[in-house]
Amino acid sequence: MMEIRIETKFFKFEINLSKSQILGIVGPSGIGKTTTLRAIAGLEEPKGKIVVDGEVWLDKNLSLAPKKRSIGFVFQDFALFPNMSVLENVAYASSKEHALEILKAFNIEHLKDKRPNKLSGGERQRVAIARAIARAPKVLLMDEPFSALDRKTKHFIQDKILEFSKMYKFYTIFVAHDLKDVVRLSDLVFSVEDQKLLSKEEFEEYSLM
Amino acid sequence: MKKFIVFGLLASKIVFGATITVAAAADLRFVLQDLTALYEKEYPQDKLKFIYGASGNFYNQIRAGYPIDVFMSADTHYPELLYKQGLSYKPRAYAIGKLALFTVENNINVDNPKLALLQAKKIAIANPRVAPYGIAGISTLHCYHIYHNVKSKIVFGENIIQTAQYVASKNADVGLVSYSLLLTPQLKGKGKIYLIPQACYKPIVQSAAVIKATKDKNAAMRFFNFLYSQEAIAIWKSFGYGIPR
Amino acid sequence: MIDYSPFLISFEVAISTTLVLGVVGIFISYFLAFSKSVWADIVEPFIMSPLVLPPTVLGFYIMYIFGLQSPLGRFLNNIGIHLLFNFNGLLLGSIIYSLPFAVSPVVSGFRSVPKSIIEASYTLGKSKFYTLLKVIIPNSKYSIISALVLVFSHTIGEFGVVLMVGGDIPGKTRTASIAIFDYVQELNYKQANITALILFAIAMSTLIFLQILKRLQER
Repeated sequence: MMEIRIETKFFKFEINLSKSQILGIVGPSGIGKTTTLRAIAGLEEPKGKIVVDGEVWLDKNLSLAPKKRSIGFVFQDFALFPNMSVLENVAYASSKEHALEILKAFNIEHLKDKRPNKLSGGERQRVAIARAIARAPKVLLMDEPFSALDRKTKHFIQDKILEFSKMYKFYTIFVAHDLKDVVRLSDLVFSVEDQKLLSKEEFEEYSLM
Repeated sequence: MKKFIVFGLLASKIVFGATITVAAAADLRFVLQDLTALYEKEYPQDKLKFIYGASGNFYNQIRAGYPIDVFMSADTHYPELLYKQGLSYKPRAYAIGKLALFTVENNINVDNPKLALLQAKKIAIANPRVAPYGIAGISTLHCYHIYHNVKSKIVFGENIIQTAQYVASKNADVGLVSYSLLLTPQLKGKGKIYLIPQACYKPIVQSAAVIKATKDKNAAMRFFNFLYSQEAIAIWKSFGYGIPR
Repeated sequence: MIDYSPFLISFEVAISTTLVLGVVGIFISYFLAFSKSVWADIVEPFIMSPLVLPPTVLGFYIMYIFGLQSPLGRFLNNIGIHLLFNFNGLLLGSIIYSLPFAVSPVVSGFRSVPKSIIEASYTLGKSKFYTLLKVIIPNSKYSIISALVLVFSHTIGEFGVVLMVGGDIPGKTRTASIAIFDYVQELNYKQANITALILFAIAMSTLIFLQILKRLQER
């Protein structure tokens, strides 16, 4: 189980997640969604408590450095390493063999020797997601991970993430500013504006889109 | 008895040779070339290395541990300081520098030095803060009672070679420079010279000292003593230096 | 008769200084570029300070601090460490003199590495040192090479510091730049010109070689 209690400038965030559960956080820009994600990653240090499978990542006395947390983070600007090929990027925290598997699963194996600057936005975004998953982390954190993907590719990748999440049993928390992006993939949805978890009825309305 | 003397002299010639490093004032560059030639004939086993520069710099470097054997200063001040601080053996004056009025301009008559200095548009003098010849130059201007008249025309050379160069290149029409420099091959016969009377400035006595930290005291002393030998004196004189008593 | 020792000495000093400052410069630059401590703001102007002082003054103070007339100098001498009037002195003087050139471009380069890729490395479980080696340095390659080029050139042309701290000892600390000055002082213009030309040729060859390296990296 993953227990998160964080206080940001704009809202209080309290949630418990079970293994393989996917949480989507939705709300308008600038409200602190990215900050929340960064706090779970350890890139920010707010007041609060984060415990993952009994391991304390954040509490009154301790804030574990990002490198010590078993996470995979997908940045809004993708943050791919310009000096490495796609394969080297994805294999950065994993093995080349495993990286190739993920690239195959995402249908982007043909890009493996290309440099990030030669890729389109959508291709880069998929590589970023692949890199985060390749690490088989305990918690997958994604910041607007579908922004550069067309609908068909988006659904394909979302299905893959679901597959991997069940296979590796990681917790997934991602952020989007559009509810449509969130409802298809999420088990739980937290609306920052409403400052609460949406009920099944509330978000089922949107799941038909 | 004679046999012993001859044997002793021969033996002293066959001593192991040494490399002797000498830090010397810049103005000694040319006279030391001739002195070296003479020295190496007499002591072929020795090798002389010279480093030329400002005596003040050498003083600071010696205090910091500069690995030289003999220091030939442009004055007596620095060797005396080193001796007082226990860094050298007793200094001894090796030459007395002379000051001369020098010009390469045709229209300046050096036989009337006071007039020549007043007429000149620019007067080259060594920087009195770092060169004894500079102090002598200023002193000479006071001696002729024209210092305040010509003060604004003075051009200071950072060392005496540079000062002489100013005159030789016509950047200054006259200069008060080291007389011995004017007798070197580069400047000999290049212009007109007037030897300034000794009464007009304090004698520029130049001293040398053997540095206590020398790696070979015998070799250092060999060179040091040579500076005062009869043969050396002839060379000092030929370059226009006075000989200390 | 050409005396080759000044060139060998100059080249040796320049290469050694570049190698030492290459490594030291990276660590100092890392501290200045990424530390949030107030010490970084205090240290940075001091790193730049050798630029402010005239080289001979810099040389004088190095001599003053490490010479036998200072307690530190005597102590070092007693334990067998000699830092003046030898190759070590030239190296010491050059390192201090060229330090700003090793640090300033690299700090700029480090600061312009996108923060997100550095964070990405941490989120992928890598240490600060691993990130420096695999992410930061490769992405500021040009700044680092520029710094090395600057250090090398600056050291080859150095004069004031090496004169004071080296002492112009023929065959030991008489660098090419000092040798040229000496030739000019003894009015031996021919030798001065030849030496200057050779020094220039050596320095320019190195710079051109590094320029080619830069271009090759761009492929």
